[in-house]
Amino acid sequence: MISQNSRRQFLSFVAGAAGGAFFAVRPAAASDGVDAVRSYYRELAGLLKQISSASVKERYNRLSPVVSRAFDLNGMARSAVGPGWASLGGEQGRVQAAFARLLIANFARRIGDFAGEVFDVDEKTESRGGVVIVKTRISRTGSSPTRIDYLMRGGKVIDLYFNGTISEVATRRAEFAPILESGGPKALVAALEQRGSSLLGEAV
Amino acid sequence: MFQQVIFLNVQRYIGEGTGFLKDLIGNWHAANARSKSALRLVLLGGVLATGACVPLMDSQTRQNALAVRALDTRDQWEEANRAQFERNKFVNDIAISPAARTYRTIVPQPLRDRIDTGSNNLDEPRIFANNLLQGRFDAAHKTFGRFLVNSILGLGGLFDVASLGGLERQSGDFGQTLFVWGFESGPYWVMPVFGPANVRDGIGRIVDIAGDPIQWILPKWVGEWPLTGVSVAAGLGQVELLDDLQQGSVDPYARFRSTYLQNRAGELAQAAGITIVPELVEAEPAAAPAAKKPRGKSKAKRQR
Repeated sequence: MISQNSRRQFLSFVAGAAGGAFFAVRPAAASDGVDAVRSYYRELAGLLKQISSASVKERYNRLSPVVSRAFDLNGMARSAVGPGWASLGGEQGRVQAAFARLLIANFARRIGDFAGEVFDVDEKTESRGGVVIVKTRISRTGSSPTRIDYLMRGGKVIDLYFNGTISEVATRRAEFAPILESGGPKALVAALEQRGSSLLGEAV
Repeated sequence: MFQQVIFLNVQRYIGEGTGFLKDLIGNWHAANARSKSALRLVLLGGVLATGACVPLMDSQTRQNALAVRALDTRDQWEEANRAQFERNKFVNDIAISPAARTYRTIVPQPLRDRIDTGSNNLDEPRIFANNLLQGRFDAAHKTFGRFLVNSILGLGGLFDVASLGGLERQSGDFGQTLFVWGFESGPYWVMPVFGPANVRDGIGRIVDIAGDPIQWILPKWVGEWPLTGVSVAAGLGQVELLDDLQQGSVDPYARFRSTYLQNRAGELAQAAGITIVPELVEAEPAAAPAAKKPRGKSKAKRQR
């Protein structure tokens, strides 16, 4: 797990600046971001107790409204495709729909063995430009906690970082790029729809 | 609320008051200030001995150079890597994954958690040794404290009670150590069996396995089989994570690579005492789009 050293100044690395440009990240007051994540976790914890033994499809149906309220799924799809978004043309809507379905279906599949996890949301947030980072920890009794940070804009999640370092959107962008390069938008839609159906146990 | 809930559960397991645990870990921090200073002096020589590998540059330049190296995502061997990835996946699908599913079916979650936590505790001496070699005395101090607290109060490491007192698990491996000493990563490399790495970290893994203090000492006391059993069981527990990554992906190779590289950048930054904030990946940044567009483009390249 990546942990922060409180004595170190929190620095941002601007990737494009190979020359090594750094800028400080401003601490932000508790905000809508914290409230939004708390509200999401509260809803999620209640729901997980009810659906942990349900089928993936049923979990998907119950999770969909909760996740859709908390996450800006369309924005995440746009970011995951990246600068080539405009060139998707008429396929944009299909990519967004298939992306949302895949993300929620994957989540529904993974939360099968809910075992009383405790969700802890840090009061202190950090802001970068127009976005806020909300830090959270999920833990089970006696085990090391798992850190998940949420990148928020306008009270909605626009990305999440597993262990504070692994961006879901960046990872999806890495997956999408070779497919878009070799097969274009239609190939991406087909791959997303096929994977989503497979996770939900539906005929492809 | 989080701490209250956890502490209540800890009380149930170890029968101790929360104040005692907090005091103990607090005292650990205070009482070891002097020993830390002595440790620094003794180890300074060791770190200086490795100084030949560290480029001579001022602190800020060195930090910047390390940050650039930490974000090195070259995949020059992609064709061979994809082929090795498929071979690893084949072995995983026919042998390892079924064994892991059987393990998850037979062994209940609470017991699997204890095995994972116990296995993590056995890693602490190796992490401690690497923290020292990296000159991270604060991390070494925390790791030593974690090992002591979890081995005693955590019933031989079965419970991570140290995290509750603020002693969070540190990273520490020989790949990181080589990074801090100034070694370049080399290309991204999918290793047989071990999976994603780069040349430097692959060598680091081999050194970590060969030089693990626990593997030298513990088998003489408890025999080889218990340790092997814990390692295999903990490894099977991790397979679930790998299966998760694979099943939810439209290009598992790219997902594994991206996940590994992002996580590794964080670990390397931690070892070097710098913080790399995860990249903000957006198609259309909300603020100052003209200034951010090129950055997004270069980041996208790095992630591949």
